[in-house]
Amino acid sequence: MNSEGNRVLLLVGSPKAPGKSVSEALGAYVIEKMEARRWSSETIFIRMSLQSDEGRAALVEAVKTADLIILSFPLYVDSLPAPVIRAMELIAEARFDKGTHFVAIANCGFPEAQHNKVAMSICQRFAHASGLEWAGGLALGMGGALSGQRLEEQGGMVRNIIKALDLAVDAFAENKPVPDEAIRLMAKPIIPGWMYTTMGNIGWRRQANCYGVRKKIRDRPYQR
Amino acid sequence: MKALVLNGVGKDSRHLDRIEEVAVRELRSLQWEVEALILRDIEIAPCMGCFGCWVQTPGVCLIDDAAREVTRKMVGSDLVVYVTPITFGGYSSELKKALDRSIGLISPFFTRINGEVHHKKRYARAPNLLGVGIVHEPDEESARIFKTLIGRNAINMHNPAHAAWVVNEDQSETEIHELMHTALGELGVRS
Ligand SMILES: Cc1cc2nc3c(=O)[nH]c(=O)nc-3n(C[C@H](O)[C@H](O)[C@H](O)COP(=O)(O)O)c2cc1C
Repeated sequence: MNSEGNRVLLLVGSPKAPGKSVSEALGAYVIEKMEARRWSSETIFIRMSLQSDEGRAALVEAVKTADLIILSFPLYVDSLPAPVIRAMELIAEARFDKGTHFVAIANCGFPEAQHNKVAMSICQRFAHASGLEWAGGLALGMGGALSGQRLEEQGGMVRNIIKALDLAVDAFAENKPVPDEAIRLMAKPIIPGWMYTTMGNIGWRRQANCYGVRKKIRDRPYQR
Repeated sequence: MKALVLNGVGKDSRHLDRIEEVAVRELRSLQWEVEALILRDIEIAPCMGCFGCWVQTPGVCLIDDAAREVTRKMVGSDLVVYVTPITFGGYSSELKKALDRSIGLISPFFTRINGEVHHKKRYARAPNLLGVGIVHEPDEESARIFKTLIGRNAINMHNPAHAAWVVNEDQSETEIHELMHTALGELGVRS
């Protein structure tokens, strides 16, 4: 495929504000690399796009005109965030049958990347139902150790993620699906599991402390 | 015994409401006290991913809307039933908007379950979970994903028992009734 004139669309599935989500940081890295290969790009924040008729129409239109769609989302209750499912329902209704490649990038808060498996199956099913071509998914755990900062600024911890995304970009530029090696690198723990959960537990306490509710963190407000 | 039925049928497929209605009738015939919520008629904002329900107002979502009441009702139930058109294998957006807002039901602290990390319980007791997924035509892959999803949710939300059933949208009332009966038997909550 001639890469001149190709268009990549990033759909950010995190409901967080721009600049704040891991989903965006991961997706933005890919977009930058695709731009360096002269692809044009567009980024849509799904939650915001669903707030108006114009936003919804623009979302569907962007999907229609893209040559590659990348959905980057956080795992929510073993699945995709509600606004992302809503967007998928709208896109599937419009159904284009253009065979546009669709890639998913999932990040979750538990240390194991495997928690994302069901959500990936859902993405694949969605692609099938919408006339898009499933080009594979990349999933990582330990999302809580990452931030919305540019990936390059997140230190040595993200080196395998960067390697994985670089391999994926090489493949996308040639219209190929996500390589297995990229999937494997992406799923590698970024720090030891025990360290992640220990730091996580300390982090929750520290945050509760900031809000003056450290003693209430185990409260049961709805206990019957 | 109290059951909360969450109807996640969207506004363009109201004909599927009858499946929720059969489920409710079946439960009532077994002397359950049932409340059914039609989620498409309830304004629920999307979760903003802030974790305020864990670290700022523990157990309560920061957004003050109907999702708080749904969450409260979940805690107060012995059984929660999700009725949803199976959407790419998973839940409809109408059902999911309520579920995303319910993570205050569990604790932020990590624990290990079956060799995997999950969150600890917040409440001593969680309801049992029954997923009723509706398909337009038989679709094994969607059914498989849906059942896996219910099972994964049950681990995360600490539901003591769970079951997942897939019904065809044009199945007869008698058949759906039979399925419900078997599902409740599977959960050990038939009466
Ligand atoms: C409502 C909600 C549900 C979540 N459910 C899960 C889950 O089931 N499994 C998991 O590993 N992480 C879960 N998480 C954690 C997020 O996936 C994690 O914090 C992620 O890194 C956020 O990414 P983002 O910055 O792109 O939004 C959940 C978070 C929220 C707010």
